[in-house]
Amino acid sequence: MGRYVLNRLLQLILVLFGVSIAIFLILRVIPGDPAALMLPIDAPREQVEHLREVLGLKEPLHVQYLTFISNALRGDLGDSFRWKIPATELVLSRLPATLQLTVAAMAWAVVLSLIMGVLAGARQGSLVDRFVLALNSLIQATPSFWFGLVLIIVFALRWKALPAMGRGNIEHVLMPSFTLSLVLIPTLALTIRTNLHQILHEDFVRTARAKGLSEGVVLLKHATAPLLISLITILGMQFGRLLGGAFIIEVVFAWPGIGDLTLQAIRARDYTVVQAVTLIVSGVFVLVNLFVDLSYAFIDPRVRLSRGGR
Amino acid sequence: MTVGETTSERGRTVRGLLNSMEGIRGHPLLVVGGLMLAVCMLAVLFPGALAPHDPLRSDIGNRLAPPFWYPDGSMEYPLGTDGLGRDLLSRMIYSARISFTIGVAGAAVSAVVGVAVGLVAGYFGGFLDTVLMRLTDIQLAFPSTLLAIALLTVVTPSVISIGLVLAVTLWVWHARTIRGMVLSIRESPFVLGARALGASNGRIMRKYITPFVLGQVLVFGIIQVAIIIQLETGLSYLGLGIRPPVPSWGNMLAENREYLTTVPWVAIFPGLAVIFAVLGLSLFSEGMREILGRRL
Repeated sequence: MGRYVLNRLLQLILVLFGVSIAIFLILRVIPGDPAALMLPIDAPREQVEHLREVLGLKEPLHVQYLTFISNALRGDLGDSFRWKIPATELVLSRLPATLQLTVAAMAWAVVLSLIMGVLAGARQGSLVDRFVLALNSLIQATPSFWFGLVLIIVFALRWKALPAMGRGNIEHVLMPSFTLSLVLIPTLALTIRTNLHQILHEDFVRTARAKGLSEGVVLLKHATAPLLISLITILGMQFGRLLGGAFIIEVVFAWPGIGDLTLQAIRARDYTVVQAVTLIVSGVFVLVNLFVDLSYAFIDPRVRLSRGGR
Repeated sequence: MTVGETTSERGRTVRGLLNSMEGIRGHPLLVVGGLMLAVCMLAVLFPGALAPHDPLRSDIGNRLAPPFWYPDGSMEYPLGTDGLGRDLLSRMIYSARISFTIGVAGAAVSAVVGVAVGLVAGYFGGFLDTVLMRLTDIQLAFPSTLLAIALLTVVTPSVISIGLVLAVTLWVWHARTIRGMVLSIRESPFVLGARALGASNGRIMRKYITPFVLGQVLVFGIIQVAIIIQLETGLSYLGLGIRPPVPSWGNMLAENREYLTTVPWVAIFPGLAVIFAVLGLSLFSEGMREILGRRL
């Protein structure tokens, strides 16, 4: 187990290192002068030159990267041009809102996918199964942020039942998190459906049935554990998509999280903040995946014992 | 006739697809998806013939006109007009060309890059494989929407650049799948046979492995067109996609945001167009997957 953890940690460091290089290069190598990008289009020539100096853009590329990475390791990702405070601080102050949204969305997704997946998977080919499949194709085709707009029209504007924007009490979370959960539901529901179908044909389930257990007990006692493993894995793998979805959905519902911050930063050409968001979010994402891998290894001894565990 | 030619026949999935076209009636998904795509293609190829108006012409006297089934709606503007008095239906029709061009271009680039990486990694294995797969790890550690946003803040959005940026976020999926497939084919008898007969690596990859994975690439590529269309809609909504006045489903939704409270249809119709296009694409690719067999 110890060796497996160490292996995964080394991989994590390697991946984060790669991500930092990628983010660094996006700003420096893509055509266009970052200094000019950060300033208004009509900024005077001297101002651009001065900013180039301040940003260290006149140094050779590898020197620039070393400065960038050594600052980043100390948690310093530069100051925001617009808000005049450290970008790290700014991003971390918005992180809880985004995490609240994504966790609530996961809760919706797990509950709804379990219901759909179990109903469909228990009897593949039935009418319920076909309905679930069709519904999920539809959900998959629907841009989630657009569905958010529809929810706002119906629940906030017509029925005045839920607040349309902002973050406050539980009512504020309902619509945005439900909208975001749609990103996850088709993948999750269909995997649960397929897995359940497979599990129900395993030997241990046949044995359980042969013992005379009712179908409900078979489902609850014998199918739950294997389902949980795949559920955790998918949640980890899909976390990035969920975060990506959150960016747009936060804008739709004026949810004061990272997505909202990023968009404001983009509009203000505050590239330091965009860079900080990218790095911190990638870090969170990689950590979540590490956690998932480890919990997976914890539940399933086969992973732990296999060499390297990849 | 060489050993490879007879056995690789199994792998010629594209030809297999064409052969099974006769049995199309047994595949409702393919037919329904295909019909929906045909409608989209009409809009892509002949927007001028279908659209009742110029998508850019604004009729200031008729701002926010309602769809025809409303009491004061008319067939002049079947789905009503937007805040500048432009015909919604015409704008939606013209958007199809933009969306599909971005989708197909992006998916094509993603497929070419992804397949090349997957083939090389899977076939040669070893150090090259390790390096390439670590690269895909890094790519996967980036939430793709975030990567697209980061790139589009520095790149000027155009049909080409948006397609390329989205391809950058999607090639990994091809690379991973193809690598997996190649790993399983590499040691199969027909490849070993070809190698024993002295075929070069290049020839084996071209003649024996590529045909085998093409079906998968096609199925996957069509899904990626759908994914790109959806991503582009979202990016345009954020103001990072196609810039107005050129219509795209996403920027129509963004432009009409302020009228949401009074005239909901301006926000509803463009979304329905996206759903229609994406559903058509995914049903079609699902149908193809069925035809190509469960093996994929």
